[in-house]
Amino acid sequence: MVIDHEENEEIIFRFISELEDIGSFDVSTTVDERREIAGFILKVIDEDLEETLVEEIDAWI
Amino acid sequence: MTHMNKTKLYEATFERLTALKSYKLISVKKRKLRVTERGFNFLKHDNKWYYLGKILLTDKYRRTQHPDVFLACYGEFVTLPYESRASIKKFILSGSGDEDGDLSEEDFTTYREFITNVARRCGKADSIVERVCNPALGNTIVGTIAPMDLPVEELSQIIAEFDALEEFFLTSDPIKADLDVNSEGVKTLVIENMLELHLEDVIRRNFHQLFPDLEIVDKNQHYRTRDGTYIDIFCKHKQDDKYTVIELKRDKSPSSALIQLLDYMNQIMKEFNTDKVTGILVCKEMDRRTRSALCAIQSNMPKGSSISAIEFNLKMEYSCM
Repeated sequence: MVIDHEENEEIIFRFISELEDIGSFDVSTTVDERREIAGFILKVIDEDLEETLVEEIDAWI
Repeated sequence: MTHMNKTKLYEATFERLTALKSYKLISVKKRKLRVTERGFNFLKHDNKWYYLGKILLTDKYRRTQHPDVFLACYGEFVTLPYESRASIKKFILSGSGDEDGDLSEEDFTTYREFITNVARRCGKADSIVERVCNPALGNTIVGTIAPMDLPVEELSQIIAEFDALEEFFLTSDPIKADLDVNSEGVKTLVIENMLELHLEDVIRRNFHQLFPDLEIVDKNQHYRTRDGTYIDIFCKHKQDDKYTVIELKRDKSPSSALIQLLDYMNQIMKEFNTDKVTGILVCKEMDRRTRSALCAIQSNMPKGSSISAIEFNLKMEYSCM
C-alpha cells in the first residue's frame, strides 16, 4: 500500500522507534532525533540520495 | 525539532534505512516508499522481538547449507545459563578471539564446550559446527538484531517452530508434494502443512521431486544478474546445461510477473551468451490476461527456449507469525 508523505513519516518514526526500543542500533537517538531521521529517510528516498549517503559515510571512515 | 550534526544524522539514517529494508518492513521502488504487509504486521504484532527474530532466523535458515547444525546450535544455546551465553557472545563478537585481551580463559572454554555439545547433538565435525554456529548466532547486517541477542524465551519458541517444520520435511512421508496436470495442461502443485512464508523453502527442499530434470546452481542464494536484479531460483537442466529461471509469486500472479520473468530470461541470455533459457512462473493463480499472454509468448519463443507456469494450492494447516 502506497501512503502519503505525512503518514509515511509517522510510520517510519514508529518503525525506527520500535527497532531502537529493542536495541537494534549502534547509534542511539532521542525521540526528537528520531523524528528528524524519519523525515530525512523520506528525503533520501525521494531524492535518491542513498548512494551519496554511503559515499559520505565511507569518506569519514 | 532538534538538528543533529551531519555525521550522526547520516550514520543513524544509514543504519535505520538498512534495517528497514533488510527486514523488508518497507520496499523502495522508483523513489516510492511502500510499507509492506510485513511492515504493517510488525507494527501490529505484540511481541516485536519474536516477530523480528522469526524474520531473521527464517532468512538465515534459508541460506544455511547445514539446517541440522543450524537448529542444533540454537537448541543448545537456549539451554545454557545466562553467564555461558554471555561468554559465547563475547567470543563470537571478538572474531576468533585470538587478539582480544578481554576474552578470558573461561570464555574460550565455554565456547569450545558449546561447539562440542552442538557437534554431539547433530553428529557433525566441530569444524563444520563452528562454521555454521558463528554466523547463525551473530549478525552480519548493520542495524539488525543478532539471534544471540534475542530473549531466550523468544528464541526457544522460534526454534520449536523450526523443529516442527524440520520434522515435517524430513520424516515419515517422503513425498511431500504432488504434481497434477489439469485438462489445460497446467500443473497444479499441492503442498500441505506449510507456512506461506516458506514457499521458496518448500520448493528448494522438494526441488528434486518437483523438477527432476533440473538442478539448482545459485547455491541457495538469490542469483544477482548484471542489472542488479535478483532471481528467486536459478537452475539448469541436467542433460543439456540449459539455464532455467524460476520466479515465485505467493499471491495471484499479475501479468507484471510474466514480464519480470521474461526480463530475467533475457538478462541470462545476454550474460551467458545463449539463446536457450527456460522460464518457470510459480504462482497461486493466474488471471485471464496473464494466461492469454503466456499462450501467445509460448508459441513465439526462440528455438530451445520455453516458458511455462505452475499454479499451486496451499493448505495452511500449520501457521505461525
